[in-house]
Amino acid sequence: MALYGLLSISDLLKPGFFYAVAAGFAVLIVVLLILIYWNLYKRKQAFFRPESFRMGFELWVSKLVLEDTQIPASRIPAKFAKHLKQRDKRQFALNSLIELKKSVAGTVGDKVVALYLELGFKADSIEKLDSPVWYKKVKGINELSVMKQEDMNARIFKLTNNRNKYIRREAQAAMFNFYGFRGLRFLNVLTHSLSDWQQLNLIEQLRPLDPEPIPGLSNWLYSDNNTVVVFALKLAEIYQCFEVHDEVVSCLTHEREEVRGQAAKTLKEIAGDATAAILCERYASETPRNKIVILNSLTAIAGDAQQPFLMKELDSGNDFLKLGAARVIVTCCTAGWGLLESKAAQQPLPFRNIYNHLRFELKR
Amino acid sequence: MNWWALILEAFAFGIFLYSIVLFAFYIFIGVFSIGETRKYIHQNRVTDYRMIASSLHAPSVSIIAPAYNEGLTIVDNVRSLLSIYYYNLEVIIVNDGSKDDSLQKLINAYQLEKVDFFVPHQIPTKDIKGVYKSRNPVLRKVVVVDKENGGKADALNVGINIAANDYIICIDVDCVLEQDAILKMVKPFMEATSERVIASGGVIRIANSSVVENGSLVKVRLPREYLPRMQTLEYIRAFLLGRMAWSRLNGLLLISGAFGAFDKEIVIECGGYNRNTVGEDMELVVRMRRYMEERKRPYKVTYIPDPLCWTEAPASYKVLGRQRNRWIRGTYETLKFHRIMFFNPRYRLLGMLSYPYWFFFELLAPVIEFLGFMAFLVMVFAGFVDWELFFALLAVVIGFNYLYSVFAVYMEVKTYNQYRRRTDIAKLLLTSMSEPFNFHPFVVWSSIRGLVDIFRNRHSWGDMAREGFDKKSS
Repeated sequence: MALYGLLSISDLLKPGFFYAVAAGFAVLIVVLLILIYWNLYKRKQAFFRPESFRMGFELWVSKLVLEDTQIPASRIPAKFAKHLKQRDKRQFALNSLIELKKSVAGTVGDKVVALYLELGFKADSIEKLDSPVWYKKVKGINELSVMKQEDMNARIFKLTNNRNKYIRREAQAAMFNFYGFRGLRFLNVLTHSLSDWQQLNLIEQLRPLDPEPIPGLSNWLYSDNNTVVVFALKLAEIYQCFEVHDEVVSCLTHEREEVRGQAAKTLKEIAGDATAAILCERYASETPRNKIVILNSLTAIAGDAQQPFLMKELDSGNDFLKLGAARVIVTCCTAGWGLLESKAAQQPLPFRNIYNHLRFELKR
Repeated sequence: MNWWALILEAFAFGIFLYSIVLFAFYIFIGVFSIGETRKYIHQNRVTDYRMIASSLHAPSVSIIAPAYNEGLTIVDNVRSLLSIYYYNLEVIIVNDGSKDDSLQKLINAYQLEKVDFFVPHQIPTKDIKGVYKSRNPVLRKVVVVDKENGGKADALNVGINIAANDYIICIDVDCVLEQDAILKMVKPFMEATSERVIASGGVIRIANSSVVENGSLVKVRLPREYLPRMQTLEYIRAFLLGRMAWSRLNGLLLISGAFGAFDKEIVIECGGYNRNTVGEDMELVVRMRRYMEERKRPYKVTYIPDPLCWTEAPASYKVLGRQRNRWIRGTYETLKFHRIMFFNPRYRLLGMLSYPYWFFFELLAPVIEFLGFMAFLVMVFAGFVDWELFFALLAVVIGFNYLYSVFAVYMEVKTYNQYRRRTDIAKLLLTSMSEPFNFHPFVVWSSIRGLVDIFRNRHSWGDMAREGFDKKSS
C-alpha cells in the first residue's frame, strides 16, 4: 500500500497544521478589518475636520483675488498660517489654488499665481518634482505648469523625453503651457511615442491660442518618430498650413497606415488643384480604413475630373466604400444625382437604398 | 484499507491539490490587482477629462443598446444615455422585435420618424424593419433601429452595422452610466502606442436601492435586500480584484456584456457577435484575442477600475438561478468553440494561462465542488470521515473565503469607497459571513443545472425581471 502512504492527507498534513493556517487567516482578517475602519475614520476626519478651514480658506482666497488689491504677506491670517503648516491641509490649499487657476485667466489668474508664491507652495511643487516617485513628479510638474513657473522650464524640458510616459506627458503639456506653439520644440528631440491621448490634450491646450506660424512643422513631417509625424499632420490640418502641402503629400507614401490616413485627412483642409487627383492615385494601394478616409476627403475637394474613378468605385465589394463613393459623386460631380439615379435604375440593390439614404442625409 | 477507501482517499487528495492551486491563484490575483489599481488612480490624478469631452477631435463613439420588451423603462433609459458628457457620440437603440410598445414609446418621446437608411451588411443579421431618427435637431445623436427578433447578439450586430463611428460601446439598455463613462472608456484606446487596444471594460456596480433621477445615479446606497447585497460583494471581488489582475497580465477573457467598449474595425473583421451562444460577450472577446494572436498583431484588452456603470442585480433566487445557469452555459460554449487554444503555446498567455484558468477554475469549479460534496456524503455514510481533519479543512476553506472578501472590501474602501457609511461596510462584511452556507451553494447548484441543460440541449436565455431603481422621491 505504498500508494496509500503517498496519498494519505492525514499522514501528509495533520489537522493542527490546518487549524494554524485558519488561525493565520483569522489574524489577517482582523488586521484588514482594523485597516478598513481606520481608513473610514481617516476619510471621515479628512472630510469634516478641514471643513471650517476649507470654507474659510476658499472664502479668503476668492475675496483676495477678486478684490482690487495686491497680495501682501501681512494679509495671510494667522489661523491659516497655522493650518498651512500641516501637510494635508497645505496640499488641500494648494489643490484649491490649482483648480481656481485652471478656471480663471488674466489679472485674477496672476493673483492666484502670486498667492501660490506668497504661500510658499512653489517649494512644495519643486519637492515633488525632485521626488523619485513617478506620480509625485507628475503632480509637481502639473502644479508648476498650471502656475506658469516658466523659470523651471530647463528642468522640465529634460523630462519631455523621459521613459516614463506619464512624466513625459506632463512635461510636454507644461512646455506647451509655458510657451504655446514655441513650446512644441520638444518634438525635435522626442524619441518616445506621443499617444493619441496626449496629442488630443495638446491640441485642446492650443485651442484658446491665436493661430501663428508653427516653427519646425515641416521638419516634424519628416521625423523618424511616426507619432510626431501624425501630430504634425494634425496641426497642419487644424491650422490649415498650406505651406506644407508637398510634405503632406509625401506622407501619403509613408510606411505606416496611420500616417498615410492622417495625411489624406489633412489634405482635405490644405488641398490644391491637383490634390484630388493625387488622392485618387493613392487610393488603390490603400487599406479599407484609409480608403474611407480618402473618400471622406474627396467629398470636399473632388470635381468632375474624378467622376470616372468614383463611378468605378461604386462597384467595389465593400458597402461602406460604395456609399462613400456615391456621396462624393452626388456632392462634387455636376450631374451627380442623375448618375446615381441611373445606377440605381440599372442595379436597384443596393443603389436605390444608397440613393435614398443620401437624399435624406443631404436634405438634413 | 480496501479499494473504496483508496479511491476516496485519492479523490480527496485531488480535491486538496485543486484547492491549493485555486488558493494560489486567488492570492496572486489579489496581490496583482493592487498594483494595477494604484497605477490607474495615480495616473488619473492630474488627468483633465473636461478638456476632451467637448473636443471635436476626440474619437467618435457609438453606444449600442439592444432592447427587448423594455417598454416600462425604455424612455428613461434612453434619456440616461443622452445625458452622457461626450461630443462625438451616437446612441443606437436596437429594438429586437419587442412584443410590447417600446418602439411606439420611443417614437412619441423622441419625435422619431422613419428614415431612408442604407445599412452596410458587414455582419449577417436578421431583417431590419426600419431606422428612425428624431425630427428634433437636439436629438440628432439618437438612432433607433427596429428589427425582427433575433436575440441579443443579433441585435448588437445590427447596431455594429449601423454604427458610423470608430469605437462601439455595447451596453444593456437598462444600465445607468456615469456622466464621464465614455471619456474614461476611450482613454485606453487612445493611450496605446505600441499595441492596439481592441477592447476595454469598465467596472459594473449594483444599483439596487440606489437613487436614480432622470436617468442619472444621484445617491449610491448599499442594496437593502440580501441577494443584491451579496452580489455587490461578489462584483467588487470580481471587478476590483479579478479583472484588474487579468488586465495587468493582458489575459482578460471576459468583458461584461452590460458595458464594454470595442474597436469596431476589429469586431467587424472577426465577424461580430456569435448568435449561437448565450455567452456572446465572452465569446467575442476570446474570438478577437484569438484573431489577433493568429495574425501576430500586437494588442491589448484593458480594464479600468472606475465604477462607471450601474445595473440592477437579480433580487430573487429564481432570476439569479437563471442568470448563473446562463453564465455557465456561455462559458462552456465559448471554451468549446475555442478549445484549440487549450494549453496551446501558439496562443501564448491566452492559451497557456487564461484559457486553462477559465477551464479549471470557472467552468469546472462548480463540478468539482459538487462532486466533492457528493464524495463527502458517501464518506460520511461509509464511515471514512476523519472528523477532526474535516473541521480543520473546513476552517481553512471558509477562513480563506472570508479573508478574500474582507480584502476586497478593504480595496473598495481604499480606492473608490462607494459605500461611505460604516454601517454599510459592516452590513457588507456580515453578508459575506453567510456566503459559504447560502449564496455560494445556490450559485454552484445553478451552475450544475446549467451544465445539465447543456447536455439536455436547452439554449434558453431566461427572462431577467426588473424591479426598477429607487426614485429620488423615495
